Amino acid sequence: MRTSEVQQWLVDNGITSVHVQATNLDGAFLGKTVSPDKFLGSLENGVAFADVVFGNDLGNFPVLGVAFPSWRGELEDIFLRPDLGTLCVWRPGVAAVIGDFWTKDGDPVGVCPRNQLRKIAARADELGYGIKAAVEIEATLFEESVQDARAKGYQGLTPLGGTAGSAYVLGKSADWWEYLEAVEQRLRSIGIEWEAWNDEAAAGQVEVNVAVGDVVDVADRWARTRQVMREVAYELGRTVTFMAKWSDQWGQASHINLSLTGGERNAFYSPDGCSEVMEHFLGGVMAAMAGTSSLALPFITSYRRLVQLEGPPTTITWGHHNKTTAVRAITGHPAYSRIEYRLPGSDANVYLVAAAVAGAGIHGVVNQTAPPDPFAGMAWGLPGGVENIPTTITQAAAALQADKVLSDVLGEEFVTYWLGTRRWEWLAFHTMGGGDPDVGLTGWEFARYFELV
Amino acid sequence: MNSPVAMVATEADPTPLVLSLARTLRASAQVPELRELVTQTNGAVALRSVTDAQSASLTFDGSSVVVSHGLAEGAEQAELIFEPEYTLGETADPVALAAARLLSPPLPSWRDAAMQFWEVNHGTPGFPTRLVVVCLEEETQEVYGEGEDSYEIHGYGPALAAVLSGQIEHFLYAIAFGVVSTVGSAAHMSVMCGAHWKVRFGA
Repeated sequence: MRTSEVQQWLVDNGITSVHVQATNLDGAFLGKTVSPDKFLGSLENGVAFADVVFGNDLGNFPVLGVAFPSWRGELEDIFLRPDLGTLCVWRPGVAAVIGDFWTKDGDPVGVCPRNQLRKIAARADELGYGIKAAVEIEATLFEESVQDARAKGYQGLTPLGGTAGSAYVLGKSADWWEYLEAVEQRLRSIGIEWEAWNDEAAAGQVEVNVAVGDVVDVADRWARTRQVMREVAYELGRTVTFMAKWSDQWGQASHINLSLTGGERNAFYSPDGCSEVMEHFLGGVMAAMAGTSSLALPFITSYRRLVQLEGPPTTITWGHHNKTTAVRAITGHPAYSRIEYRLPGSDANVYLVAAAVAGAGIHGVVNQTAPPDPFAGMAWGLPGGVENIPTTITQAAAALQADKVLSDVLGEEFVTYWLGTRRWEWLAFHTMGGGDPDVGLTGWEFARYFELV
Repeated sequence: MNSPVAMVATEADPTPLVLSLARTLRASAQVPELRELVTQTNGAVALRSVTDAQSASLTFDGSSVVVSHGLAEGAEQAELIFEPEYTLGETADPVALAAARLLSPPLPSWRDAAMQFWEVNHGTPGFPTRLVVVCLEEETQEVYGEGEDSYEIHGYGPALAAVLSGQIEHFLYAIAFGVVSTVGSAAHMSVMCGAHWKVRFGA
């Protein structure tokens, strides 16, 4: 779109303000609201943000201990350039657009999550592949308003839809239906493609599935759908959280489904199981899984979800049609052959996890990496002999630091910076009010993660 | 007899407090009479921070000490005070009394601390190529390295010795509370925080 066309689009849709949107490293949805004139003036160079977009933690404290990349200085500006392919009417009179962060010198900011994913998609394209994805969004709804939740320190809340039942229950009270139908309505009005929503296993837990598509588009849908779920909750006087674990009940995930296409066909498809491309993709993904866990399980709370027999994977395994392994290979279908990467918590930044997983997978394809043997049987409660997924933020950081493929795929700058932020998260938990790791969920975690991850 | 380093062990995947206590105990193990105290102590003490939720336990076996997170079951509990670092609250328990002595080793000279700080950190990403440490009461300075990428740390000798040997939880706090003052960039300050932790956590 040319500037004049964008201007006309704003007029035609009666737009009086524009949300420019992005995620930070922690996956929080950030942005600014700008006037139409300001927006039009920023189309080429972007909207200025202080570099603390990638420099403050979720407690609004500066992340320290990291070496600053060249684009960071004395609170220097970086610029969110709108991707006009994402321009939409967010609500009457309000437009929204997702952007990517660039430096003042005109280079993409290396730690920007969307830049990372676009880079991996471009790499796949160079090799003749497209990356298809779909994301499952799990969340828990509460009867209380967010103001009430804050007053209670986000604890002792009442799950929306009652505490009895199983999964997929349709016999829900009207307040539950009211919320989810309102979410669906908002998604449709914005133009966010969705596939399904349903009751999930824990009390108040729901799952919303965004439709399959190109991986960057799907990550955009993930970010926006979560924002819609929050906005609708607040409008209806409810609360929602994407914490990976908020109680002793079952945790919450963001399973990411990925496949490669070659032209119009699914490159993972083979009538006999995995295609050669899928085998090598799996080889790359599995080799990088321990390191990728730092991105898929980004917070202190993320690791509380890794409980045997509760759904999340606990071992570095993959299997055919096996949901107890970390990667489920769905094979034998000309359209739906894919991997389901089951490690990420609902608190993970999908741009980053998708970039790491797809990047490692493509690295495997290029280098013809053989995967380990598929795991057969139940991958929980094993006596040993199988590598476990890191169980703490420090173990995962050490695995990422040792991983050479992810440094290559995501870049040394990103990996070094990310590791610094995870060390900070560990320190902040222990020295700023969290406490010892084995005492159960802490008030520090609720205060830090409940509303923002 | 174990080496000073080998006398102090930590659990796997230690917390920041465990690492910091272990570094402090290793400093004590360099001092002959404190080293002897380790070999004379048997039993455990559980340390509970008076300012936050951190806790750790020290378990002595007559030749070495293991530091672990949390309050060891059955161990005498003692208050852990961070200012001055580390002080234990009032106690009559002999293991706690030994721990109190071992957690307050003599400070190194500010010059030794500065030299060690430089040696551990120079060459790491973002660390300045030139470090100037200025001692206010002596009106003197030590300069490490060279080049235009320079950072200065000013303070009184004991404060410099404490900060550069790893005391105080965050280098930022040392600046914010006026323990030391600095000349440099925000990028330097961030890297210095990491450098301070590297010393504090015994990396």
